Amino acid sequence: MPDVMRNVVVVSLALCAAGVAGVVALRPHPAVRLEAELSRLEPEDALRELRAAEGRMGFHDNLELLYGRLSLADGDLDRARLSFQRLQAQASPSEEVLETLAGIEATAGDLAAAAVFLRQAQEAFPSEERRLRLGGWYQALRQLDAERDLLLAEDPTLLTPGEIDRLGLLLIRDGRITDYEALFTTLADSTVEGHLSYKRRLLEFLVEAARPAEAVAAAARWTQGPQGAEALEASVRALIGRGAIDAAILVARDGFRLAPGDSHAVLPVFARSGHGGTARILQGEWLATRTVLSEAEWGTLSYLAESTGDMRGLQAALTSNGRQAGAPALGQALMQFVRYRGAGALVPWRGLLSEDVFKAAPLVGAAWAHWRGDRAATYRHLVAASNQPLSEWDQLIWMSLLDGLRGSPFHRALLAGTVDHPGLRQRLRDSVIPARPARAALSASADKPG
Amino acid sequence: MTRKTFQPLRMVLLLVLALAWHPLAASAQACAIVPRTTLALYDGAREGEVRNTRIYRFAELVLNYLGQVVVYHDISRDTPPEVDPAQVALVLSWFDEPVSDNAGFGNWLAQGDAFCGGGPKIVSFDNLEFWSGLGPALSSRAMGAMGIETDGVIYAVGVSATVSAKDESLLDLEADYLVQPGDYRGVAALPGARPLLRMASQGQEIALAVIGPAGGYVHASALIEPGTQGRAAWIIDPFGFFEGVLADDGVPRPDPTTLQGLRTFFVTVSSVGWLDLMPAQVFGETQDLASEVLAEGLIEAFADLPVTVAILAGDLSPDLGGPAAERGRQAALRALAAPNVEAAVQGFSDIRDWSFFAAYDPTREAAMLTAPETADDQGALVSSAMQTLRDAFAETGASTFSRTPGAPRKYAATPFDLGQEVGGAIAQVNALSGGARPVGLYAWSGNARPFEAALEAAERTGVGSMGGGGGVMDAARPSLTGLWPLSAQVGQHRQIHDALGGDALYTDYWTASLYGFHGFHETLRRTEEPRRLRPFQLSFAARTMIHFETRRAVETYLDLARTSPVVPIRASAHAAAVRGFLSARIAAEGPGRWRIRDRGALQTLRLDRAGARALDMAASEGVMGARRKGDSLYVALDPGADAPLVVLADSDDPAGMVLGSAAPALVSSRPVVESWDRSTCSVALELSGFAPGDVVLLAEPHAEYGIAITGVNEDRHRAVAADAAGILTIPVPTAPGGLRGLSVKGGC
Repeated sequence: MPDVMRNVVVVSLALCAAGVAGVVALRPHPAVRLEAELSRLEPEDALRELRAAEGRMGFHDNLELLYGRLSLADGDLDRARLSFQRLQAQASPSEEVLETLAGIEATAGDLAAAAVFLRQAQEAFPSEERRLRLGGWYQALRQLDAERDLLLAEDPTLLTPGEIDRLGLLLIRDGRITDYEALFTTLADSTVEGHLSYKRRLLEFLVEAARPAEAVAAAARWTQGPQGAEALEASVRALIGRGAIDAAILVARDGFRLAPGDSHAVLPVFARSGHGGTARILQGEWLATRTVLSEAEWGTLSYLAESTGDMRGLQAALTSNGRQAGAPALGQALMQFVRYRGAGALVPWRGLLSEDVFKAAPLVGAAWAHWRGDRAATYRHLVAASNQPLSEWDQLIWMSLLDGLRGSPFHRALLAGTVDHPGLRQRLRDSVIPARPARAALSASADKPG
Repeated sequence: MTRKTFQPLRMVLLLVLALAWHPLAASAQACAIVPRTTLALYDGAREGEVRNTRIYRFAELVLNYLGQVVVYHDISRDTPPEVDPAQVALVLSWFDEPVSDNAGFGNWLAQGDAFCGGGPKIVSFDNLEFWSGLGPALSSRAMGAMGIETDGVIYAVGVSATVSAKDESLLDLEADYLVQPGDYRGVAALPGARPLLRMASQGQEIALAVIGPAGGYVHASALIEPGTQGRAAWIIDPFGFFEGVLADDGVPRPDPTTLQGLRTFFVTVSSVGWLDLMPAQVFGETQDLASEVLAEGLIEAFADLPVTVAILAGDLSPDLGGPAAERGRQAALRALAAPNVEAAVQGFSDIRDWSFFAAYDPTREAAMLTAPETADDQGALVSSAMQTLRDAFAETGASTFSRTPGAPRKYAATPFDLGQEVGGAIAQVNALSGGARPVGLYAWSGNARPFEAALEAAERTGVGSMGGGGGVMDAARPSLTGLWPLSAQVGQHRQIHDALGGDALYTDYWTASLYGFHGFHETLRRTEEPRRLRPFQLSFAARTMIHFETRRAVETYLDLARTSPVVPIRASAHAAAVRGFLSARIAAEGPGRWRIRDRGALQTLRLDRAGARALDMAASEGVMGARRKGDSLYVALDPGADAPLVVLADSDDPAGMVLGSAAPALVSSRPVVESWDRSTCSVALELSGFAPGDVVLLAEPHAEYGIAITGVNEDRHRAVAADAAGILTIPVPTAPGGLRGLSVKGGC
């Protein structure tokens, strides 16, 4: 019995002790209690409580974070820094903590210290926005090496165009030409936005480095890739721009072989850059490889004829391909003959002329009708032509064809206002009002009394 | 809309023309006036309007600091510039492409006799072709002035190019010059010119920056580094460059940043968020409006500092502002009742996009407000975030922003009416205070790019206007390019800018870290040293009151203003000082003698590199004193003097003044000096202000005076003595709404 009693007492005591221990153990930690209280307070009151509690109790992470945030909100940057540094020391790297430490230092005016934290954040949690911000900070700090290394650490195809430009300049500054070449080789071989400009820059670099053969090889490589036609044209333009004409010719010839349908685009590049002679030679070579011409290719031939006055390419194409060409292409091509050689030059091509061609190029129709003395058709085509955009040159042709209608009702009808084209209307007015010197008073001799 | 007569820019030009353009007097009289106009050429066909140009965005601030008023001329119109040639100190171009038509300008530049001192200086930034296309004689003259010649060849520059010469004192200011591959025009510095930067490329030397005998040239690559985040930075030192070109360090420069030797301080509160509710910490608690917290918690707590509070008239109308309007009205009444408050108006309907209303089409606005959200936005994360943000700001009443965040104005219940927006809103706020607190300032809302008719409407009310501009120059954005010029030319009118940006800029319009506004102190520091570029303007929105972070920042800066050496003024006083800057004329009356006219409310002249010069108080007229800051000398003008005469003496006295008599002179004063009377032995002042502040005078060392202050010791002069440096510091208990007389007697 006594044993039983003793056991009961012992068990009872043990249970009591356990209960007390449980109560004690389950009592919230003062820091937890404080945290709960703070959540009900205005920020300034919460901050006051935290300041009062500081030193009296240890702050766990949540309280430390709250204290840091409130101190920062209050503008107490030193205390905020301390809190976030403690958090950084206690836990694994946190994006928020590193960003906030950077923000604290920037707000305090120490951008160099801020950049250290932002760099850590970028290394642990890379993002484009942060990289851009950090790059901007390095730039502001004039820490060009750090800026360069930040950009070099990234895949070049992920950099923004502004960053690429900047990295290129920094590499030039440091004389790291091999890295410069590697950067633009990667970008030029890619399809990132703006890759054509990077192709241009790489070619310019290779020309400057006296490595034209590599430039030609690179251009040939790009010609066979996506957007090959654009790459070919950009390559030729870049090489001509740097005076590497021979290399440009080689690239063009490669283009005729590798991109036969698109390579015509290089011909106007030569013509526009003052290399009309080269353009004509290349035109002949290119034409020899073509059996059927697209609308765009006819356009190129017409452009070359118009800009150089050399009709040989067009003549050859019309002879071999004229029957297969569409009306707009024919109209555009034959218009060059009208421009340079007059209506009579259409005679050899009369077999290609049709109402469809005249509809596409009414001035050609007017010229042909004029040649044949068909005034009604001339009038009809002139009216149609006046409803189209006309260059100064074409307006002069239009007026010369109008001369053939003089004395006829068609001429009077045109003078009476059938035409809406403002340039032609002015010319029609001028054709009936004798022109005077613009500044007659100045061109005449001075009046003399008596 | 009829254009009435009050057009300051035109008035200034006409005044100058009337006084100085008389045929006989032209050369003698007009040329005595220091030319303060920089004629800025821009291509309207490419750049649109003045406020889009790089000259406005980057260079005008610097030219303003150097005392220049920048007048813009659109070269695409091919008409001669509407400016008096005699007043043009500098012609500046900053083209990035060739400009074809320049005959009108060429004819203007060719009128040699109309110019003073051999004609204006000429500076070309970036593209030179405008100048080379002027015709042989003019082109040669312009190039000669810039100190350059061109060979007409375009050189290909690659990675092997190197910097062959660089003037370190004027380059790499905020960003390092870096060689940029590209096509460069062949430019060389002429003998006698000052080459600043030269590059060598494949044996060819190319000049990139030159100061010539009467101008200068800077290639684009040596001007501004655009920055990968759009944060531009100066490569060339624009102050040094323009100082070198203008070569007028000896001439006083009007300076609106300073009053009585001290940096001015003013506070502007915008109406943004006036009706915003401050979230309650405990559910069921009454929520305060931001405006209520502003009126009770801030304005009254800082009654010793002037605050200019802008009110949006529409917010106070229950039909528009909704249930909170009446409380907002009560908050406005309470704010306006505080003696330290200057009333301002921010319009009626809260215009966010002024350009939309320049050619207003009500049907277009109606269509915009009724258009459904685009399908692409539905359910998107950003769209949800925007919705949350919108709800957080709880636009109330008839605000269009709750439905159409991109609406051009907040209240669109009635068609836009410029009269209601400007004059009407001012009348409403005047009526609110019963005329007791008349509106002193019209604050431009939204994007603060008012069109010309809006500026004209504001001018017709007789109330000064201000807004836009400002800027930031903190640790992360430390460039001068972050600051804006004093004003913007809009047609024939001038828009006066804010001096500094406020809370919105530091918090990305309350979307980023709100503690960012605590970094404003960096902008304050960087705009004070090494040059005082800006006054201390504390600018914030009513909305800032509901956020602990921004509210605490505002309180911190108000506390800072209490203890800083500043002169607290109303915002309208700053706007008036800038107008005075624009109109002031300075005439040379002999070596070191300058007569100032038409300066309006501008009360300070600054002389740079003035370490060996001091203000001669005896020979000057209408001046109160001077104070050195660095190597600059700030001269305080007597506010009652119509045409003060500033005379300088050779002296490196640290005080910056040669007294010439026993009467003290002003070093600095926190209270505003309303009147100043200095005789041989004494000085008497009338002072206004918002709280007690020190008046600091310079006298002979240990000189003894009797001091009397009205309301303190009246005519019973109290004896004081200057210290060993001659400094007398007199605390004066000023308060809003009254004047204190200060008499300092007995110097002889």
